[in-house]
Amino acid sequence: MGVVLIKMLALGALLIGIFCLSVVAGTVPIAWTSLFDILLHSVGIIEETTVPSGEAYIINYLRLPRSIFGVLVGSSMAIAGALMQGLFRNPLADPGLIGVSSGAALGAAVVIVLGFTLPLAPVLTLPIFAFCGGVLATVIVMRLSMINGRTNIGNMLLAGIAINAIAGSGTGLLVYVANDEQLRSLTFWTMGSLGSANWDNLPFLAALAFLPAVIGLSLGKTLNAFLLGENEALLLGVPVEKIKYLVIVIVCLIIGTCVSLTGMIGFIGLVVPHLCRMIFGPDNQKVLLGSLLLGASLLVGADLISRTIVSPAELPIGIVTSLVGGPFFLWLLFQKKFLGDL
Amino acid sequence: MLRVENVSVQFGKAQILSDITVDFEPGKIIALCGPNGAGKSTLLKVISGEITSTSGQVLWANQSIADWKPNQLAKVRAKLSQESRLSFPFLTQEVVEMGRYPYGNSPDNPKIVEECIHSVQIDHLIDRRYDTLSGGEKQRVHFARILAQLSSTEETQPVKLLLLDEPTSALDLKHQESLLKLVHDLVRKNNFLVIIVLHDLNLAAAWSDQMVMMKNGQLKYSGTVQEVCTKEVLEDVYDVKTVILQHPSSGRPIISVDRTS
Repeated sequence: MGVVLIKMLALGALLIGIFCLSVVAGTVPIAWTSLFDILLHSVGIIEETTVPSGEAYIINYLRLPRSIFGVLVGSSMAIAGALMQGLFRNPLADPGLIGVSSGAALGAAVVIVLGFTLPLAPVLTLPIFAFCGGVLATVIVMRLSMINGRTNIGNMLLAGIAINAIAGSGTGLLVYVANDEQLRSLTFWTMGSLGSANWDNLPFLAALAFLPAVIGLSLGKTLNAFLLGENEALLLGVPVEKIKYLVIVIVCLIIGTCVSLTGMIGFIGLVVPHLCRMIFGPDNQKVLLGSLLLGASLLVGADLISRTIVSPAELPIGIVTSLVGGPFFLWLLFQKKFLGDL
Repeated sequence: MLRVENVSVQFGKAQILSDITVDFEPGKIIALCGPNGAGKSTLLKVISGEITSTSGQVLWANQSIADWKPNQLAKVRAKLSQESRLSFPFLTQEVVEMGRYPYGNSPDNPKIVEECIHSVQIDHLIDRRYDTLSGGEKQRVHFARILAQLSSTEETQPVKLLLLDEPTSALDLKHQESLLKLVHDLVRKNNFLVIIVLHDLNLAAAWSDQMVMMKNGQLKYSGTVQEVCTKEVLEDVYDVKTVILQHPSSGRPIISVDRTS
């Protein structure tokens, strides 16, 4: 127990470190002292700050919301990945398997290419359509995977592949008819960015992605029982059908929300739970909590790289996560000792 | 105590179980025997709730198992299955601890887990990775897990139902004996009801209080070991001629195929 606690604390410390670094580093570097000044000021420990107003603005309105955004997106997506891997009893499962990402992409493509806006909330048109697209795709996959009133996990996998293909071809059609400008924004959208982060959409993210993720944290033991097989889980008193629904709803909310607000960010959901399994072993209670901490760190770190590496421009964050995640995953595959566990 | 009522199971056109009705009382080891495809494992799965019967119902303590809360049922009913899908590299100790999941974070958990590990004699395996164990060792680990699932420290204990599907198939002679001895003690001391699917008729004859013979999805014979282990019954069920001897010390039947005819 002691070792696990130390490892968790180390991951927590890593997250705090990367978070602070992400606030001070960027196109306009900010002194560490300014960050602490602002933080102490905002919680009311000191009454006045000596931080120049320009720096204060950057911290308060750009870097802080963006970093918090990164924490919520990264931790939620990593937990979604861990939940999927537990449900599918397969360490290679990815949240995209239930169709939610490709459905969201189709929803986004519809808005970008057909170029219309909702009258009441023009700015939210794209996130709302993307979210609905993701949820719709997942609902279809769920319906298709029912056999005799029970959700068949194998069928879910196959239905997910089919729905992904259909949604993909829909997006492809839209790409085909798009003009150059639309194509560019669509392409950038699919590569992801935390650029949309602000204090206004943070509550949506917290309620629709992070809250479900926190609920997912409590499913560690249940998912361990799932690893014994669905029947064994049932015999251990797990309400198997309800749990499958719960997991799918949680993953769908998390990925639907994250993708609609940030675009496609790959590999976090796949790689982070893997890393946690290497650190903590297969116990899902530890994997889920570890994923929360490590997912947040990795995404905030990736965002930091994407903001600074071609500064003052920004590299799409999906490029960074895939560039790091892809080779890492290959390395993982070629680890002999790990291959046995897959 | 356990009542199987008019249970039929159909997969497509195949009739796996046809209209089975039977009652079992606690304090007994019931051996479920019969040829391949007789429906033994299916009947066990209907009792365990893994398969929903096409018609009929299963009652435990006068309440249909479908109406029990899953978590409550898990504390009084457990099953050792033939195979396990677990492929993640858990430690043996962690696998046994899973048996305590229905009880949440009860303070009794560590003590009970330790006792179960000890009684199944897998103390030397607790720090080994489950996926590196042999088939027989895995089976014993799961048996310890199932014992942990049914163990409780309460004063008045409800009757427990233990279902075993071919528990000895991967075990050597010594461990077959010690597993069945353990089961026997649970029945005598704690008034368990044990239903055990066994292919080895000699093991069934040596350890069971009641033998049930199945064939083609039906219960053909049910009775004491002496009543069921007769040449006539065995020829009817298995379609082979047998020689039946008597164990010199226990007096139980020993069954072998008659090759002379």
